[in-house]
Amino acid sequence: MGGSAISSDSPVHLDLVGQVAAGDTDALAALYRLHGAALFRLARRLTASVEDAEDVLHDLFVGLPESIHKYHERGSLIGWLKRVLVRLALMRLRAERRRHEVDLHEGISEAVAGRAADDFGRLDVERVMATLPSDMRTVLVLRQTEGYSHQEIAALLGITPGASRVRLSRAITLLKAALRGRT
Amino acid sequence: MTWHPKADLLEGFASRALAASHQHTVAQHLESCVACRETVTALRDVESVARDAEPGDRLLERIVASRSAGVRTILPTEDIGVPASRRSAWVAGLATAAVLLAILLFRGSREASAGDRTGYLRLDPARPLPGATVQVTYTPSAELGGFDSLVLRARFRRPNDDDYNPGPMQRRAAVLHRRASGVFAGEFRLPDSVVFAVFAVESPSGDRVDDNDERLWELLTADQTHRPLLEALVQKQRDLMGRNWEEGLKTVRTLTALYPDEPQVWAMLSVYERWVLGDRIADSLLAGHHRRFAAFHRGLAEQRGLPATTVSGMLYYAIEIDDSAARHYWLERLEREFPDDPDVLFRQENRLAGDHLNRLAGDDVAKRADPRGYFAALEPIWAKAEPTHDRILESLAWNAVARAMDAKDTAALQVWIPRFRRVQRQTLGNVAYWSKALLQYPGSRRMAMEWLRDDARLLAEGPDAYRPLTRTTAEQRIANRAAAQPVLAEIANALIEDGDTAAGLDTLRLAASYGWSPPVFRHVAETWAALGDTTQALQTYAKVAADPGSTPSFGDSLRAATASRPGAQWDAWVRDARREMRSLTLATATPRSLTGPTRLLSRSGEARRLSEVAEGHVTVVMFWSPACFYSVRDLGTVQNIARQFSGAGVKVVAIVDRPWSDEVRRLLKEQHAEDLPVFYDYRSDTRRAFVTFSTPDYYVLDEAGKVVFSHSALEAIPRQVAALLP
Repeated sequence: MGGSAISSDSPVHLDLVGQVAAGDTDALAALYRLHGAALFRLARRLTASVEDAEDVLHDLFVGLPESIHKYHERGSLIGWLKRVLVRLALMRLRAERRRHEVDLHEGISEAVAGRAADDFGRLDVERVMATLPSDMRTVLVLRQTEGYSHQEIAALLGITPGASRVRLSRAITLLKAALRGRT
Repeated sequence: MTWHPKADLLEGFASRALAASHQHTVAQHLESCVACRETVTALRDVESVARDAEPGDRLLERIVASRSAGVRTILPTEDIGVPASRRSAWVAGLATAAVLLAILLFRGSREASAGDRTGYLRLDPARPLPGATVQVTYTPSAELGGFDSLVLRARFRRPNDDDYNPGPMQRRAAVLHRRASGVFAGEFRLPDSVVFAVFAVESPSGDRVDDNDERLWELLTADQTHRPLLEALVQKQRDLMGRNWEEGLKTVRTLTALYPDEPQVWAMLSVYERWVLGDRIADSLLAGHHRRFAAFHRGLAEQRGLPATTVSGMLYYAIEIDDSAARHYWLERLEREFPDDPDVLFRQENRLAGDHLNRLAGDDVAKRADPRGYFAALEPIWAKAEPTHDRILESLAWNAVARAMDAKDTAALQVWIPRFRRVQRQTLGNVAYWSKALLQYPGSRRMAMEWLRDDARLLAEGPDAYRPLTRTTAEQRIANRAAAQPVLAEIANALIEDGDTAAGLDTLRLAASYGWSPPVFRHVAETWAALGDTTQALQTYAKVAADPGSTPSFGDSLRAATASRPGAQWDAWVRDARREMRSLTLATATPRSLTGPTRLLSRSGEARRLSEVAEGHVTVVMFWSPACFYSVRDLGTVQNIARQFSGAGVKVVAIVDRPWSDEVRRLLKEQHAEDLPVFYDYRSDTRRAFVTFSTPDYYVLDEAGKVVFSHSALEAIPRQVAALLP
């Protein structure tokens, strides 16, 4: 899952953590090169936007030197980084929702149906994902592409495991509805 | 009833993570169940999303640049448990909001996009004591990586330095030498009196500058506990004036957080809130200021022996919140307890003017018996004020010069012009403004000419202390020449008036050769016409006509006038002039690409990117704010530019710093700019991409979306646009 050539508990990795915590920019860059792509892909799926994903990754790495000491080497570093990234992404999505930039909860089926008839003749899954309510999309991505259990998702999002299941089920229902028109 | 596999099984099947037996069972079911097949297809599609996505090449550079610019984010690393109750969910929400707020505050305007232009400057210690030795390491930008040594330039600020940054404030702080690792290093000792400094790094000849994308790098001096000094933060906000008002507001907020017992910082905050946030928000914050002021007043009014800064701080706080009784009380105390305070002396100058000088009363002039008594009474005040070297001296001397000009008192001018020149923080070229009036009086004419010549000489020499940290030496040469044009034109005028026509014309020609300036060309042409050389006059007028800022009727009338004149080749002159204009204008271009997102909201609330609006068009971008008088005033002119070039496919984008509202609509209507395409920079990322934090600020982009001209003067925009059109 990490996408890294260096295992999480390798001395190199632990050295990097220490150097990043000491404010070493080269070490921060090295950590980025190790895990940046995997983290970006997760951010991209969660936010459904290249720019937002880059912003989230930017915020994560800019804040790491002051926060990486909170990684206590329990579990993999990439797993810890992903959990922090998920929270950052959620904060961003919530803030956007507060700005009423896009009302994700209203008219979702119309939006999805509208997209189904787009000019390309086939539905772009990525675009359908972008139209899903962010809380549903988050559960879908964490469960299906990151392999989190509902218990883990619940702990991460501050919801119950049952709520996680419900969100996933609704997300799949909406997704299927959108994809149904595809040849 | 039809049997369907549980969701977990379908998810596992989609991920190919089931045991073989389960895999087979589900596969069999899928052959006959459309619904479950759709589920698996959908889940596999989800896995395929962004499978090969990679972050942009420049994201790492942006991260490093943000770090080097001091941007910090607080990461949400604490575990968020399953909410046991509504209350804990509410608390978690608050915590999230707090973290988000912290991120927004820390990101601020300093977030940078790195690139070839920006490297990484580290100052150690980051918060030195005044007088400390500072170690410098610089990881170079691509542009500066190839040198053996680099120059660290600085603007050092002392506690009495004034607002804004004109004048000879820049200096070399250190030479940085390249190490084997490619990193540059050096050191400098901070002068004892310096409390705040900003830096840029440049090549030895100054032809390439890394100014951290115009944000510069900064150094705040601190006390033993690493708390930034009050004077350091005050100087920081003064340095930020005109270049980043929002960062100035943040600095003042920091001041109030670190020095909450100082009334002067709260007075400052009240001022910034009005400047930056606008009247509506400032008014809503006024009640809080009244409560705080009342608490200060209760605690301080009975105390004797308060320092002057506290008493004047209370006076200014009272003025800002418009409490006239308190203002009267604290002014009386300031004047009684600190009669020689520069601020008190300045107020005495104001009173003298009221007592002695003629002044307008309605449509009439209220004459005073002895207007010249003002200058006699001012002498003892000046004698007390000048030794303080306070920044108020410039205002005091300026008042005296202006009043001497009003009174046509050449004897007073002879006294006060040298004093003003001694204390002013000189902005080269400004003398052109002064000299217009001073040259009229025989008593001040010689001094005005000296002043003009001094400035012309300085502008020709181009002392490095005047070069802003953000400018290359080549850019400064262009700026100096532009500033010299009106100075030389005034000198030329005076020479011609004095009968030295040949020298006057030579000076005018020199002025005209210093850059594209229609007002100077017009001046030259008028002089040729007055001397009877019509051909020279017309050739020079052709330059005025070629400028797209001139009205078409100007050129048409001259073409008609020259139609019957033998040898007049009006159209050819105008064509040649356009070529010259294009070439001179493009010589001032500083092309760069935008980095980072540029998201905007249209009037109808539609989210757009600047690239979508501007793509394929030469585009003028204006940043403006309803709170900024100057930017509102320019809206009509910008609308005219939009109309002028609409036929050529040029776009104009007016980016406002707040959501669409009745106020925005009203302002556009008042300025006859209702058709202007206005967009709201709702995430502030567009101005971060441009690296602009002031209004009004103008940019001209080429058809490829590259920023070719930055911080354009409004009158230069038409020729910059014309230079980019085919």
